[in-house]
Amino acid sequence: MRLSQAQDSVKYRIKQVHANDLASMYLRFGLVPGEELLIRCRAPIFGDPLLIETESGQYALTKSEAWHIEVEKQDVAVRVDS
Amino acid sequence: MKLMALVGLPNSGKSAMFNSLTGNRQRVANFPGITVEKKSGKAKYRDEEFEVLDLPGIYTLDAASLDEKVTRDFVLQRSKSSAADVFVLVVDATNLKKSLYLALQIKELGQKFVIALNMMDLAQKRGLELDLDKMQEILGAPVVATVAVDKLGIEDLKAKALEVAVQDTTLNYDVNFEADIKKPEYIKNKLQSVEMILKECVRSSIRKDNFTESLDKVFLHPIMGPVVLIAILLALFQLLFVGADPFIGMIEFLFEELGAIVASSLPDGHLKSLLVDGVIAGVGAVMVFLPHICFLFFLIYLLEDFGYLSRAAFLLDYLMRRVGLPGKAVVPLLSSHACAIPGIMAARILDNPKERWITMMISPLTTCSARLPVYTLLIAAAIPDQKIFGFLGLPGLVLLGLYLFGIISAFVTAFILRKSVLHTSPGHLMMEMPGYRVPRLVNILRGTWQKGMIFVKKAGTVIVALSIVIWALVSFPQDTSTQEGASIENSYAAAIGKTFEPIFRPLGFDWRMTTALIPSFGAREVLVSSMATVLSVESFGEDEEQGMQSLKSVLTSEYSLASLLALMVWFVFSPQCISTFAVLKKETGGYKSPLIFGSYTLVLAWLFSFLTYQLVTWI
Repeated sequence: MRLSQAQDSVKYRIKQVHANDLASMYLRFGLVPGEELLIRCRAPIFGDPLLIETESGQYALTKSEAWHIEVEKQDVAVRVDS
Repeated sequence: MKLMALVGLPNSGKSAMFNSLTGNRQRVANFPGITVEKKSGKAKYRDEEFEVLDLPGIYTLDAASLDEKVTRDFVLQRSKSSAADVFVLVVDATNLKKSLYLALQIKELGQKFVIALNMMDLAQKRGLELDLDKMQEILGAPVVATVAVDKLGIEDLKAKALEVAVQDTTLNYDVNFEADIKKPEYIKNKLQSVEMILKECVRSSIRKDNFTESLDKVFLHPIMGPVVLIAILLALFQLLFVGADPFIGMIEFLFEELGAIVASSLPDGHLKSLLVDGVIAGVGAVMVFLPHICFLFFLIYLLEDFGYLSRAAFLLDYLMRRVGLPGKAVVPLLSSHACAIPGIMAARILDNPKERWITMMISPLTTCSARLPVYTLLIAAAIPDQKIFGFLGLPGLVLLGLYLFGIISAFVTAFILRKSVLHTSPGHLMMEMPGYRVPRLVNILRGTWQKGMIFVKKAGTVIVALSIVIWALVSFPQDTSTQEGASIENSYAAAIGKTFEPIFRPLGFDWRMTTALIPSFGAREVLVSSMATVLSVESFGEDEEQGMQSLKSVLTSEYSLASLLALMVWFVFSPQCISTFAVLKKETGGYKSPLIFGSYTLVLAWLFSFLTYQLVTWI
């Protein structure tokens, strides 16, 4: 599932970060596979951008940016990428 | 003297550290050749003096933006400036994880550095226990606990920095470094090391930042959020528009008085005219911008330091992105309704250089306060005071229309620039939402003061020089046949006005209008008095009320409705005032952007005035 389709206030784990050019951006914000995150809230009226929370802090990103992050519900076992 | 360079993540308290180290001994300039701000200052430890350099914030040495490249080149010792003797890595102790990535990269390079573990008070408050000795051991660099805002640990930091600065080192840097640090294996490896250090050095987890959480419940609330945002933006605009006014009046008064004193103590002649109408009026024209600039930057820094600016960007992002601009662009665009000069300067809050450039280019299209006297006069002369539907005044509607016309053309231009010139995809939002904190007035005031001074020094000289050129155009050649001396009708300005008249005839402008436009390049509102001069309105200048009345009736009788409307539309687009050019040159660091701005607005001004004139005449 993509982060753009995720529900609010539910913990997810990052499976993979897509899009090459954005990779370094995501790395800056600590959004790497294995990391947990949740959507804290959405911008009023438009529902976009999203405010997400990870262990290292809170970040704002647009829905299209969130689409590049593949997540899974936290209770699912994490597949370790080689 | 040792050169100490501060590096660190954005929001790590680097600026506060810089202020604590250098106090008031600071200098703000640009890095050579680019518009990245360079802050430097002096710090003293015992007998040794440090030159302290505040480098732009970075997350990793894999630099993306212009600012970040400055810092990267400095750390890699590739910059043309002299090499640093010691780096101080400022780390937010409450958010160790992200800073450690950078720390490991600097260590890997073999660069000499000291770690300032900043915001230690907050870290302790949140129940964080850090093993500094262990960290020191793993990272191979001294670790000093600091609270920069309270100047705690600063002496200790300087002592450690001095110890490191005198050591020798060779950089462990090879040509593939930049390519290597982009590789997934490298990144994975570094992240694992970061996790390892965290496990070794940090005990107990972070307690929640309750202050931020409860404030966000209001500021990001589905209903309260937008309401508070609109209230804050309105307050900002009001303060800028109304609050700065008395100060502007004061400055104008002071320079008029100064001019009068100089005028009365000098004999008539070129020198007196140059000093009073050229130099003093020119310097006055620079100073008059200071209240707007200072008010705006005080408010911006206040909101930024408190943490609200990121929230405003978050709330407005979706809306602004429809025209291809980020949410934060609202601040410069709104400010430009008071004056484009602080608006253009405020575009610096945008991180993306292309978005910043577009914002600077379109800001002057919004209706600044200097256009108001012009619009008021022209509307009074052209538009009958009728009511529509019995209650809507026609003059008011026209004024509203002109405001909307300005905003819409700014947005359309932004959209076109984005699609055509830059062809960039919608920019990134992706940003950190810093926690709220109590704003620190001293730092805010210092930043505001520095902004004002930079404007006076950098843009001021250009404005004064151009004011003198305009003064010369209007005052020469001197008419020797009358006692009055110089008069605009016989001046170079009138000659230029007459020369260009054929180009402006399709717009319904005659040579008197084109001549009156020339001095208004100094400041738009000057058009009112220069129109009075070219139309020889006798009573103007004696009694304000009566003068305006007769100017109005002369305008009505001399010009058609179509001409007057075309002149209004001209003022929506025309690239007036020279100060806009000066500040664009200062902010973009070259003549290219002001030239592009000047040409595109001239073309638009001509085109839309032409359409207006032809359309109204035809109807």
